[in-house]
Amino acid sequence: MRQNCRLCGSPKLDNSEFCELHHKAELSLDECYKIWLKSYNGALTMQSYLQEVLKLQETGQAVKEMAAHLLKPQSRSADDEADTNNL
Amino acid sequence: MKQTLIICEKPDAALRMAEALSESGKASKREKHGAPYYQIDTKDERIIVCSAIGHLYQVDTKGSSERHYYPVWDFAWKPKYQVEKGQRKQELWLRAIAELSRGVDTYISACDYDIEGSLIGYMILEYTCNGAAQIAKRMKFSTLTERELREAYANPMPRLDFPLVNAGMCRHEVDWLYGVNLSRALTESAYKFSQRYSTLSTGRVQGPTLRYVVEREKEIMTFVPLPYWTIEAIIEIDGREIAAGYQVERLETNREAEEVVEKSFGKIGIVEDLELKKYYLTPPTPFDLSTLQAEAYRHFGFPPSSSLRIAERLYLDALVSYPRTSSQKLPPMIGYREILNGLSKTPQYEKHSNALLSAKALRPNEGKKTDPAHPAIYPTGISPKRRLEPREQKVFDLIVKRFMATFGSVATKQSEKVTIKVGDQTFLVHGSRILEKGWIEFYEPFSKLEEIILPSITVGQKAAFKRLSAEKKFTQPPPRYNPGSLLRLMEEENIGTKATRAEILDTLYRRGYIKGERIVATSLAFRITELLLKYCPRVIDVAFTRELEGMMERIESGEETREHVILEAVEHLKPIIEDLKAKETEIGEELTKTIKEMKMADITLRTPCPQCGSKLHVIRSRRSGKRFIGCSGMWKNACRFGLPLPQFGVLTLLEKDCRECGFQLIQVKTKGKRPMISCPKCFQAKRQSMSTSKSA
Repeated sequence: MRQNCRLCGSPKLDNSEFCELHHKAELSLDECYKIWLKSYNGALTMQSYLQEVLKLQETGQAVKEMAAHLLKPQSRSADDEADTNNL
Repeated sequence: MKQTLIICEKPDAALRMAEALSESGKASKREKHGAPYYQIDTKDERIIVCSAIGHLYQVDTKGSSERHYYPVWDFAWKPKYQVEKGQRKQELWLRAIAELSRGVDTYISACDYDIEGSLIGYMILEYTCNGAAQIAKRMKFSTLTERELREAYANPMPRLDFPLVNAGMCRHEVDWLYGVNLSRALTESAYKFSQRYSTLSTGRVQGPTLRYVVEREKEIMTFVPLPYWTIEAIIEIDGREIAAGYQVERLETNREAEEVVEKSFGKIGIVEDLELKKYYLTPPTPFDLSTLQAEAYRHFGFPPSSSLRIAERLYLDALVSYPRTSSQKLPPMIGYREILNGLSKTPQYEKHSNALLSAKALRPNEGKKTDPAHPAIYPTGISPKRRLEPREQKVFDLIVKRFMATFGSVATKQSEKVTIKVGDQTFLVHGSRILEKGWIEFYEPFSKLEEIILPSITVGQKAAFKRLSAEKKFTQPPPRYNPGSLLRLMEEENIGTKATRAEILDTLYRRGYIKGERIVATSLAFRITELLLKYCPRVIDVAFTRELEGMMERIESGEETREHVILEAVEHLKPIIEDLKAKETEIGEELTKTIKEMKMADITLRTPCPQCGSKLHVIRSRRSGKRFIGCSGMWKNACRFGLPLPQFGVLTLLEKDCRECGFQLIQVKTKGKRPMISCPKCFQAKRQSMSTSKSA
């Protein structure tokens, strides 16, 4: 089993694929998507959201790395697979 | 003939003291083993004034032990020259004081009246002057003006200020115990794993301070901006265009914003209400050290340690009072009028000093903070006898103007709020004007009040919307600390002392834990904080540091003993160090990895190789010893791309790119010279074109 964060190689958290910082970035992205969605009256896909966040200079570095990772086709399909397994 | 020996903290202070005490105004300067001293002979007394050069004694391991061994619990005070290499000057200095102390009847410590000064005086009297600390007297003063020094000499305290001495000793001893044991634990762990030395450190105050920076960095790194909209309008009233805003400053959805624009665009509004409000701005409080440091950083960008050094130089020139103070009080005994009279002789301050002098009574707007030893920082009223350096002039000007501003009257401002209605939408126009400048006049240019003057508007007047738009904006991440704000935070959290906080920031920079003026925590800082949090969380626990600070402060007031505080500290530290020792390998492995990564990051360019796209590194040739930029794709892609680099000075890879070619810029710093910023790629191109034209 992988011991280090998929994005930076730091020791990963027990309950995540990522280190503390990238795990927090992932949570923040998830949490903020709900607010963004509300701001755009529900008309915003996850992909556009991630692309928009990636472009902004105010976005934190760990969030940018996570957004870029989530936008990669292989990571999304891996995550989708994981979601399916959970189901 | 009776002999008196006065010990000052610094040579400049000794000179001022000697000048003040000699009736003729000229003391005879002499020298012993390279240490200057002054002799004043009166009818029935010989006064010898000598000085220390900062701390001449320091805490070290009792007896002799290996420098890298830990844990160490036994300590002793030793002459600095015995502990550190290359301190020959200090050795001769102590020898000179020892010789001067022979045959002396009265000993006086005239070091700065605070923890450090009291400790410096005590150590010299106790260890260099054969236990004279027990019979020595103490001079107490806040400025080096002749009047105050003579008064302090005529009325010395009968004994040394032992509570301050004990507090000083305790602080040094506790800091040594923490610093030596924790830093050795980190350094040795990394060394045992990698067999390479990298100086790593942490300490009682350093650890929690670094944690603040790291926590802020984490917040910034995981920040997701949120969108919001503002409505920006330009309305026309009486033929004049004015900026107006919507009643709700931030709209959370774009639909709301669009609705506001749709409903009001091209409409005529009516002024429904006009509200005038007067408010008062009280004068600033006098400067304590940290406020001075924060203001000097805000206005001139001076790091806190530089501001302190400059203020100390001004103090030694008797231009300002003692700067290491936490007081915001200016007691009347400092002589307000006398100071202002003195300042009025300088053309720059003449007008404002005279304006204050014409007032019936002078009362400063004092702050809450107090210091039992010194008042707030104030100018002495003496004009500089030498031409001040530009940085000194700036800090002096800031202190003088702040002092005058504290006596100024309240400034009055009037705000105007105009409410404009368009259907059910409300827009607001804000204006402000200064009615009375009060203290602001004395503190310019360090305080400025901006005015927005509106035309005369009456209720019922029409307002046409000329422009109306919804602007999309994003929330901002929390701001990075700068040296001034971090210092303020340390003070608010009561960690460190006014004298040591700036030094701690310097150490964090020096160790490579933080960088930049807008402070960024490096990956090493992250790792050190993580390790300490994992293996010994109490070391970076602000609450414990604060508790220890409180105990040490209570020694000053005699409510706590030095011995008890040290016992508490050792009891707290012992299990932590034992735990660290047991986990040396794990810690060493993690630290080594981070150090390697950091070193690699320091030599890796952001710009990829223009030929093969691999990473570019700063490389030092094993054969010639010369440094250059080389491509990491050399072995894989046989890429031979390379660029020359300057061979001397400290090389830094900058975050900026060249405007001409987009290549990452480098900076080379050579001692005594201005830093040179250049683009290695453009330099190479220029060199090649020059050699081509030469050969042609």
